[in-house]
Amino acid sequence: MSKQAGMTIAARIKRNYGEMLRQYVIWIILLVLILVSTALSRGVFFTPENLLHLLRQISMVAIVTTGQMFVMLTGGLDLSVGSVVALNSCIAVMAVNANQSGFVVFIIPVLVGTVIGILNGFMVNVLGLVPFVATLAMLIIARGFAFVLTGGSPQYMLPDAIERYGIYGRESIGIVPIPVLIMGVIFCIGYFILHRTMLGQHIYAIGNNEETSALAGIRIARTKYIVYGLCGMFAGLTGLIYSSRLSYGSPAVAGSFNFDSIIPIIMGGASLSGGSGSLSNAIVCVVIMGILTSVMNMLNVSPFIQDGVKGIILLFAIYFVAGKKK
Amino acid sequence: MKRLLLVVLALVPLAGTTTAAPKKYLIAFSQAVMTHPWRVTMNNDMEFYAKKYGVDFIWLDGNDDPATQLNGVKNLLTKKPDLLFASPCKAEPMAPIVQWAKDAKVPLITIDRGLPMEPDGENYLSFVIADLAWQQYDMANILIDKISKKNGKASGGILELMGSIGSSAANDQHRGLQESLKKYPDIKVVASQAGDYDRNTSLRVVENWLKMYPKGSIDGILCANDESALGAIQAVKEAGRTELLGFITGVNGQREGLKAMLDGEMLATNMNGPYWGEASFKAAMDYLQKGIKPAKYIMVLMPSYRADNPNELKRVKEAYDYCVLKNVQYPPINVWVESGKRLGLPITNDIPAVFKQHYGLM
Repeated sequence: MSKQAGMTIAARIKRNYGEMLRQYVIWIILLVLILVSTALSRGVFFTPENLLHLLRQISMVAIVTTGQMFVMLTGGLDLSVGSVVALNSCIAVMAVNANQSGFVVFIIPVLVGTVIGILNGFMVNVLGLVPFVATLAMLIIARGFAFVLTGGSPQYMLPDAIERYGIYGRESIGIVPIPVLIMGVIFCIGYFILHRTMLGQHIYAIGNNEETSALAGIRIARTKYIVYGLCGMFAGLTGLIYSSRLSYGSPAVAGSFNFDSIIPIIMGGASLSGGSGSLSNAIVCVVIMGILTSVMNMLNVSPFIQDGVKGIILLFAIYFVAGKKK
Repeated sequence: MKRLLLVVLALVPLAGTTTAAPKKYLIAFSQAVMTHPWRVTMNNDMEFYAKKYGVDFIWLDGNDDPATQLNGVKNLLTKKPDLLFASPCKAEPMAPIVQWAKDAKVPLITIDRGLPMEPDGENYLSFVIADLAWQQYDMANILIDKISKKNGKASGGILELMGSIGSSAANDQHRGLQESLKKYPDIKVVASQAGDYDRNTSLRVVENWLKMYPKGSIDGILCANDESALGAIQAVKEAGRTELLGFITGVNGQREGLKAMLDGEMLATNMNGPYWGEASFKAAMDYLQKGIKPAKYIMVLMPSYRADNPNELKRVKEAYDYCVLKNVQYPPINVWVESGKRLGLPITNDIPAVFKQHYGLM
């Protein structure tokens, strides 16, 4: 068009529609991925069975990501989530094998996760440690504790128990797998807290500017205890689901959950220093990463380049979503 | 009576010399990592043989970090052991220990994992190894054999569920499979993906695979370890692909894997370690006590557990029962050997030349 106006078409689009595009880039990437995957897999990808399996495959990471979102919105980080998942997968199996009631089996991993989260909050609030350092220490401590508790051995569910405790990981209501339902519930809770409660307002405020928030009367320490506690709680719940899905728990697993929960949040446009970010975007990014993994498996893409492909998509997303904000 | 007393009295000084305390050897061990039952069993086995030979045994954990393990080696060498065992977490960064051991005049034997240089036979005496390539070769042979019987001829498709990409273990296992495939030109590897030696990842990969490869297009799944195989079995059961049960192999000889074999779900597994104690200590003590230098590479016995005939299945049952009874994750090698003797089954490895040549053992 008119170069004399001093702008190229691209620049014009960017000026007029830039902000809107940025909000929807993630959804566009998701749509494109679904279309390409369906085409390349000759339709296998876009069947209800496969889509539900995909959601089940990402459900555990999605739950942990929701918890991680709370922490990252305050400008923090929780590197201990993987260890909490592993620890609680062992604890859940031990509780099941010890013939504990369904309620006990559910509540102990959730409580242990919450306590660990609160301990993280303690290190950040009271000891004044930077979240990275505090949760890094907890990563080591929690996993170490898991090894001591189990003597280094994976915990296998006793055969009769497997049938009873498949509910969190292996069963479905109708066609919807239970982990997917749990993920849905957790997402709703997360969304509700962040966008419909004062707590959510406080979380965003603290991430934006902690000093101003404190001056405005927001109780920083209490809010941080809550976000770290929630993150730990969700990780504990995930440990329970993990052990139910695989009928075993192990102190050595779930190491990838740390970065698998942080990457989608950043990819979805959240700021590393907190204060801005969308939970829905983060979960969509979890789905995107899940689709990438699934489809590359199905198409037998060489394992050597799979990480590279994910990295490129991640960079693409970060560039367009996060833009040049920081 | 008096003469007897005189004879006894005369012998007393001699008794003094013969009952002089024999030299108590101190053997040190630098372990790579302890975060897996395989490693825990390895340690227990080393301690067992240390006790058996009556030596003092000290060890340190490298925590899967070269810096930590190097410090550990330095630490162990200050205690002036008579011999140092090492299982380096990574080869290149741990290279200095060869010179350190030489300077400290402590002979070195590596176990399970090696260093970038070969044993020189001078101070770096030997490398006790399990050949992972042969291991997967054996598993592939057993799987293809069963597929051949089912299909009436040696043709079909298999899925390769690999270990952690880039690890030497995964590379070796892949090489073993390729070697086996040379004998069976009509067997195709339909797909090759990484299961990361992890049950969750493997479950996911196989779940995805089964959608792309419907019934009739694949005959079996070759997995990199028992955990992967268990993940694969779960995916197969959930997808209702029961024709694949019994056509899945693992590696490690873990208790859960043995159980899967008894349930007819898994076909075979092979033990690489973790019982390194016998071979390592024999080499060490022969050198220390008799001055016999060990071979530069010592390949340990790697028992295969398989479920494709009734006697072999009995051997699996005995091993599994032992594990349950003693509450261990891996059955000791002698259980396999003794069952074999009783049931008339093979009790040695038949390692082909091509694998031995890889280590210059021919």
